[in-house]
Amino acid sequence: MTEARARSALGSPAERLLGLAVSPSLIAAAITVAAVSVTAVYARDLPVWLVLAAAAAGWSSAWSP
Amino acid sequence: MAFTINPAVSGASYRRWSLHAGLFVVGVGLGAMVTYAVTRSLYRLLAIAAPASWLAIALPLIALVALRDLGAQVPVPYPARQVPEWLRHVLSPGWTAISYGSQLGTGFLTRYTYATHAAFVALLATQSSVTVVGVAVLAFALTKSIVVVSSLAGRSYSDFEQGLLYRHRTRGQATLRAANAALALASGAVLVTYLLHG
Repeated sequence: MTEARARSALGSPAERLLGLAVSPSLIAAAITVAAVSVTAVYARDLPVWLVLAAAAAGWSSAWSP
Repeated sequence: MAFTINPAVSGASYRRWSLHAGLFVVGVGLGAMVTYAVTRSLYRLLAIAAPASWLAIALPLIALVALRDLGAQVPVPYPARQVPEWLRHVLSPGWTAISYGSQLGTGFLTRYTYATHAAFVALLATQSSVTVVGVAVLAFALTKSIVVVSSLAGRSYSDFEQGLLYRHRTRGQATLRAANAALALASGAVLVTYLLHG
């Protein structure tokens, strides 16, 4: 399988856009921004951290080789 | 997971695939609730002595998984297995979605993913509010299903497989692991504050 064919297998631009949802860099950036925001506003609010950890755990596992 | 619940694999229409994706979310939620029931029982048992006793389990667990995400080859309490592949050959697509979802949702029946899962479980066990537990489990189930709903591509299984493998070659895994480790450690620190100072 060549690189070009593998790339084309991703399909339409819309499908490629959906693929961004599992981009590890994007997920990492989202986690970092959310964590910094929570630290600034809800630093000691455990339920907020719980939901953040839950979302991070779920979304990160989208990129689990 | 996306290799299993996908029209290119199940042969289902996109409409039925939407139902399968929904069933997968339900399965993940059920699996996470089973883990919550077990860890909550353990937490309550330890809390008889003192709620802070939970830290004796939670902190080493979070430390280990954070170290793993930072590259250390430390042991973590996850088996080195995936959901059995044969399940999708013997179950209907709907039951496959529920079965895969529930096994992945428990988190400890399949191989290690990221440090935030352990942090999620450790923090969840301390909570008794139906609303807080429900929102957290729902957040976990919905985000864990992103991989399913983002994998529409697939005119054939071969094309679909190659496309997904191409995605997985994208760089950034080390960054993702570092972000997860940092968030897990921060969550652990909040847990310490919560249990020691209320």
